[in-house]
Amino acid sequence: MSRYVQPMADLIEQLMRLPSIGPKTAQRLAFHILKIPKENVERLADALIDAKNKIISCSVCGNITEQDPCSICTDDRRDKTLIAVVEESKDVILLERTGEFHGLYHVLGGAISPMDGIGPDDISISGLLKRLSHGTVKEVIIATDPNIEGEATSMYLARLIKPLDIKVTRIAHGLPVGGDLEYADEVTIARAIEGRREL
Amino acid sequence: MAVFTTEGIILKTQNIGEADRVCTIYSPGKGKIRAVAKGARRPKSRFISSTQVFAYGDFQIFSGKSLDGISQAQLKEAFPRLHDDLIKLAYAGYIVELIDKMVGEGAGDQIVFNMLLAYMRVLSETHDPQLVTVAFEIKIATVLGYRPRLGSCSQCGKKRLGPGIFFSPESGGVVCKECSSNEFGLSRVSRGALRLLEALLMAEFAKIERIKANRETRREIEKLIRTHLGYRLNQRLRSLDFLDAVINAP
Ligand SMILES: [Zn+2]
Ligand SMILES: [Zn+2]
Repeated sequence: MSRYVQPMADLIEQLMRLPSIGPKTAQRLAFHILKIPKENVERLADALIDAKNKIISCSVCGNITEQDPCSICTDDRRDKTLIAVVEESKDVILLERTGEFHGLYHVLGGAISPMDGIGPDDISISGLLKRLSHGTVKEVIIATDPNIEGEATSMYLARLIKPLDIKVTRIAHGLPVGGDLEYADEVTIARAIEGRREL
Repeated sequence: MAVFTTEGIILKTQNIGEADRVCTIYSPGKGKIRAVAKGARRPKSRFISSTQVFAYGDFQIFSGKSLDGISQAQLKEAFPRLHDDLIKLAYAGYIVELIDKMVGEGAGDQIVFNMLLAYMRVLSETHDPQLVTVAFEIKIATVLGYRPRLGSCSQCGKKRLGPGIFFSPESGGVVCKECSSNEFGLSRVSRGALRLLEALLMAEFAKIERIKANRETRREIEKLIRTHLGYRLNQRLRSLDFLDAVINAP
């Protein structure tokens, strides 16, 4: 990296810290940033700072939001007897985009991964159980990824929730095992919500 | 570019990049292999089911610059029972981590491989995942040269062990009452537990579930073999916490 002047080397180094950006991509992005007008760079920098400053996670559901509780948790038209449990905030966006789901969400912030040392206490399970203890929720739809971590999480949750006399279902239909929810298309996800099976 | 094909079992996966998955494969000839399956997390990927944890298949590996790659993967057995039964998943997760930590890269061993494959098959079908798992642990310890000494004192060699028998992870086996005072905090083991461990070591995998054992003795042998392996590995395996959480859950 010493071939670059210091500010350039710093920029490349920072870009490389982002997920899925390797040295080559970082270098290409850095050169692109140097080339574009200064206003555009300022807008990008402002957007980064702004997002970081204004976005927090909802104290109820864990989704990213500007206000707390978030606009979904405070929306009266949503079905408060139904909660969809997802791994990440990006999964909320995916389910919202289908227009098929009108309940509330719970964002776990990850999935149980025994071999990576991520256990039940490392994701937001206690927060979910607290919400369920109020008695309003009648059904929990588990929409974790259809891979081993998502399955482990789903089975673990089902074991905890079933004794509370709440229906637990798992979205399944149409989602191939081993994939990320992120890469499924909207139609597939919409069908998956409809075709959920009871755990 | 060197290319070879091997059968293997996926011990571990790690997501990298947009949709890639790095797999740690245990192969009989080359031991652990780390290789990336490009695009394996996309639903339409040809690698989708063959590169999941526990998958048994044939893998074509090519050597890459920083990391080897998987160019072809043919699934032979997926072990779906290990994915949809939480307790079996927790046991299998522990065993693949154990293998991952116990064997090195380039250290292939056909016996270890066959034993792991047999374990996954039997675990899938069994109604007694606990005993099957302890049986695997004691068998694998034996194969890798860590067989715990159970028949005589590991320190003085005395064969006729009196009423007090203790297990010493440091000595790698049981010790008599006299020798047990040399070490601090050793736990006592029952004769029944030692007999059960011997029986598990001798029995074929497929016949393990016929062996009867009560709750206390099961706990005892689990504790003994895990202390023994943990001492050899010099670390606590992360998957054990999950196993405890699943077994001891309400
Ligand atoms: Zn919320
Ligand atoms: Zn002795």
